[in-house]
Amino acid sequence: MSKTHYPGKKSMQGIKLDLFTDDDILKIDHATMDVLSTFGVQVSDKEGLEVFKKAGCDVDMDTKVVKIPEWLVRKSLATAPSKFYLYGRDEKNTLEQEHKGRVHFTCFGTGIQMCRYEGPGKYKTSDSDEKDLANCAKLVDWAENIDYFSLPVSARNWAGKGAQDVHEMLTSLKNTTKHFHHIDPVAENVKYYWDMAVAYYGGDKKAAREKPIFSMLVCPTSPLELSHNAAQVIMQGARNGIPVNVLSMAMAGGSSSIHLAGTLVTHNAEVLAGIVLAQIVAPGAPVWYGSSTTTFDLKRGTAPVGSPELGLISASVAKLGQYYGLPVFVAGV
Amino acid sequence: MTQKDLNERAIKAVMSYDQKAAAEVAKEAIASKADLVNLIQDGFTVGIQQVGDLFQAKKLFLPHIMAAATAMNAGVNLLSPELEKLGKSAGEGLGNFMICTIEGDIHSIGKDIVAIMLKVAGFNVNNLGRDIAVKDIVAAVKKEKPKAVGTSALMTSTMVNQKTFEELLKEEGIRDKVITNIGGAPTTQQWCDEIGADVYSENASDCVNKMVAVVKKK
Repeated sequence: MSKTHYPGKKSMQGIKLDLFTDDDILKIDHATMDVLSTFGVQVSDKEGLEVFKKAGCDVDMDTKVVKIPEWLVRKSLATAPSKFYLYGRDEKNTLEQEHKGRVHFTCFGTGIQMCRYEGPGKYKTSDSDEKDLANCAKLVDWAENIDYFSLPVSARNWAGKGAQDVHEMLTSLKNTTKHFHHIDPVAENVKYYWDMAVAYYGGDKKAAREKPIFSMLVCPTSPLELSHNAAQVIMQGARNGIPVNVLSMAMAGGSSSIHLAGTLVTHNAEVLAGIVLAQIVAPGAPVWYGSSTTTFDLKRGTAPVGSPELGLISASVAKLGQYYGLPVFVAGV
Repeated sequence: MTQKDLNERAIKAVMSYDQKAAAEVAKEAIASKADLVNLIQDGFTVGIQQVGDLFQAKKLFLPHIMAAATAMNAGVNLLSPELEKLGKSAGEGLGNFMICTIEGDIHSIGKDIVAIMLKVAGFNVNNLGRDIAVKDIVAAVKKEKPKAVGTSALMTSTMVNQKTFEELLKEEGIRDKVITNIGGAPTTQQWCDEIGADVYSENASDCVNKMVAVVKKK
């Protein structure tokens, strides 16, 4: 049989979930620009407000509402990189995060309890501690289907006794050679995370910046708010070249519209506001377009990260991230 | 129109989420010099409790509770000033419940749902808002002397302020004067025990069930 292929042949070696035409995406994009430029987002951080103001946004210092013009959003999207690398302590665990690139997997977080096996049919659930975190890190280090390590449980034995988030960073770095994604960063302590990364590179700040062994995740507060913590983590991350995952977790029917398209609009506005902030302080700063956005269960008052709508939203978010030329991070598969 | 008719109309107004009807019943009751305390206790309150029961039975959704509470407020807000003029009180129901999101935390949706559910259950709820400084909560407790105070935290980094709150209450010597209740995603029974809080709530329904039981026992 001839091995010659038909030229220009399109093939699909898998499945495809395509919810939008290009025009549909454009509609969500336009609605988002409308929200950002006419309604705005609330930024509960003084420095953040000043940064937005200096960059050309209409800022009300009393209401803390920042109106971001379309040109600034477009400019920021143009400077955000389409690809960056997550470094592990072991070089073979370094991976790329790329616009329309390969899919990678990480663990979900952050849990607060561990279910412990005590014997056949016997389990006990109790608060997670530093040892559990270390064990999870070792397991992920071994598991070849998990590409990098996100904080899976918190080291609660440090709660009220010390800087829990800083200990979580050290324990994670010590117990896996894979890249560490800090899901619970505290703005005031980012400098200590950075110090650890610099110390790992023997005091070489340039290396710590060029080969980040950790990254951070922050959530805007839906609807339409960047908290002091989120704004500060985004700015400090951007300044130090630490990749930042701006991940919204809007809950359709709770903290965003019950309609999924409407939810996508405010979700998009929240994430883009965070990305704009990163790009203002450091053009070219590595950022993800993130989502844990889901539905709000109006009967039980919970946020089910596993509802059918979450799948639809995540597929839509992937499209939006692709539309903006950014690496995407979504919850659930 | 008899008192019974008024009460039934109040129940119906709340159960059909009708603010206008609720306000009308209140106005008519005031005009006809009916028993306003009775209208609240055997009318509006009965209506909201039935809506609460239907929600617990998973027959209704959260927005129904909110709409019913709004309808009830439309009526009660008209009655309250009249009652004050008469020097009467609608009673405190199960007592005053102070609630807020703890210092450093701006997440308020869960806390607001709990506040509504507590109100439905019969507490007189004072919702202080979000990101309330620990010293301000202590000051508010001192001033208003609520029966219980609930603090919510959504992050492990802000949860620690619930511990600070317990410590400050002790320092001020008022820890035994108030029932403390904690909730929010990162909190657990273990955390509650560790910091010495009285009641841990996993969710809104859990909070209502436990708090009603605790208050009735005291």
